[in-house]
Parts: sequence; structure tokens; C-alpha cells
Amino acid sequence: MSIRAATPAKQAPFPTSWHSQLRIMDNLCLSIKIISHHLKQATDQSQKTDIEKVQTALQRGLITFMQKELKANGYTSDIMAEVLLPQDNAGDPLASDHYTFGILYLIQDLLTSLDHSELHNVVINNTLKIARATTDSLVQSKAFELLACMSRKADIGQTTSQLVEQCLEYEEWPVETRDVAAIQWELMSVKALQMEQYLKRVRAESRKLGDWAGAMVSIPTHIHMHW
Amino acid sequence: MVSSDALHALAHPNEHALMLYLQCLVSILRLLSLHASLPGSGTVTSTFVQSVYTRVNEYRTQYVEDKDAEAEDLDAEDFNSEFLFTYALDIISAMPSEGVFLRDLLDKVGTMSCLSSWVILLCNRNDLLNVWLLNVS
Repeated sequence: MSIRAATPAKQAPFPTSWHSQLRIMDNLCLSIKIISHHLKQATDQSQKTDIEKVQTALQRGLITFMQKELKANGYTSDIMAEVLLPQDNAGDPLASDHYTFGILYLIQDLLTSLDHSELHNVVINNTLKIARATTDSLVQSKAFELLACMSRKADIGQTTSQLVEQCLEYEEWPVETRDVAAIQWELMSVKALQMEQYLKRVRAESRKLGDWAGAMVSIPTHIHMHW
Repeated sequence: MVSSDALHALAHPNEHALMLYLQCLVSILRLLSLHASLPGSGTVTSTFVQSVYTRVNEYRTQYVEDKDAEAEDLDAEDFNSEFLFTYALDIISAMPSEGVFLRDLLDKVGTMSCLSSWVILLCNRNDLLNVWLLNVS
């Protein structure tokens, strides 16, 4: 069964009510990326400590923001709590699903480029709960895609895969739902691998192009000698 | 990336190539949006913003049509590209242009105008002015 077959017809275009919130979150994610980059570049210990403090504050800010928004859209905000089903009074369900998709997209984009941190653990826990609780295939497939990307990471990959396998055994799911979830996980795992391989190829090609361009613009030695 | 026929240049782009292109597009638009809102960095004209919006919207329409035409062959539907198209369009819509600056300016002028009316009113009414000054201090 394909994802298309497992996914009900979607309604485009996405509504705009949640866009400004998503942009705020995007800026927060961008700030974390920049700070992480500076942390890697920092050599002075006191500077490192300062940057780490900022990084921690930003990560906590992102966690708070994400959980608040997920709660507002019907998902639990307490990572230690048992799974809650989406609330009925969470506003427009379609907007809510698209917004949740957007949140997961941004988080996936951020975490893929970061080393393992507290943020990863919180996100993986929340994403597993979203995958279980959502009634929307679009959100569920995105949650599995995020988890599949995390399962490709060296430090947390194995744990993530194990957690997903446990999630797929969720006993409150009807058999059909469990089958669809298993297919989604399988397809998303393949997709994550394919995307990784594609990016590797693109990087290698761009390196070749860079070398070629570098050779083209470098000044030949004999011309340099005449100067 | 937007002004040239970048999407069409990718002959029959696969989902990965398209997604990478859209990710770059969103990053560039985000940067442009940030740059445009910085003081002294110039203004992005509304005509330019409109043209970029139109172009990206055309890409999206084309993408949706192509996807629908190939629907039978799809193994896995990719919502990421659709999301990125929407997000790109949203960033363009929110991009500050001279229209936004003009509106902000008019708001400020309007606020000043309201304030000046209150000041005149207060100056004409010494008793009210004294109460107000007392509250302010």
C-alpha cells in the first residue's frame, strides 16, 4: 500500500492563520543553528561557556514554544504524561494538522544538523506521542519521517528505531491503523536513506565543481612569475 | 533562483532535487526578508515582491499539475514540497516592502496626530492638564 493510498485527499492551499507563529519558530530554530555554529568555532573556554548558556536558553525556549503550540493544537505538552488524544475543541482541525506538520518540518530540519542534545530527547518523545495520537495521515507520516531521520543519526539512531518499533505495537490502534503506520515508517525510513544518499552525491558534485572553478580562477604560475 | 526559470531548468526533477531547491529558495527568501527589514539596507519594492510571488505561485501550480498527472506512479506522496511552496509564498507575503513602510509611517503620523490633539485639548483645559501631569509624575 502506498502512502497516497493510506492518506486521505488533502486540501490545498494551506490556511494562513498559523503562519506568523511558524515564522517565529523558524527564527528560533535559525538562532539555534547560528549559536551551534559559533559554539563549534569558539576556542576560548569562557566564550564557549557563554555561548553554551545562550544555546541552552534558546533550546529551552524552543521546547517551551513547541510544547505550548502543540498543546494549543490538541497535543499533550507534558512529555512525562501518558498519551492524550487530540482535543475536539482545538479549533480548525485542518489548520491544526497543517500547523503541526509545519512544526515537525522545522524541528526535523533543525535536529538533522545538530549534535545530540536534550532537545533531541524531548522532540523524539513528543514526536512519538504525535505519531500515536494524531488522526491525520499527513501529520503521522511527517512524524515518522522525523523519527526516520533521527534513526539515521549515529548517536541516537538505534534508540530511536527501538522506540518506534515499540510505538508500532501500540495496542490501542486497530489492526488497519497499525498496518498503515508500519508502512509509513518503512517508506519514511527508505526516504530518509535516499535523501541522505542524494545529499551526499550533491555535496560530492558541488565539491568537484568548486575544485574546477578554483582551478579556472587561479593564476597560472608562469604568469605570476612575469609579474 | 526565482527570476530565472530555475525549476524548469531541472528537467523532470525528482522529489529530492525539488525539495533541495525549495529549501534553498526558502532560505534565500528568509535572508531577503531579514535584509529588507534592516534599517538603511534599502527597500524591496512591492512590484518586485509581487513578481516573485507570481513566479513561485506559477511553479507551485505547475508542480501540483505534474503531480496530479503522475499520481498513479507515485509510491510515496511528498508533502514537504507542498509545504515548502506554501511557506515560501507566506514569507514573500510577509516581506516588508515600501507599502509596509508607508503604512507604518502613516500609522506613526496618525498616532502623532492623535497625541497632538490630546495635547491641544489638555493645554486648553488647565485642570485636566494638571491632573494628567500629576498622573505622569
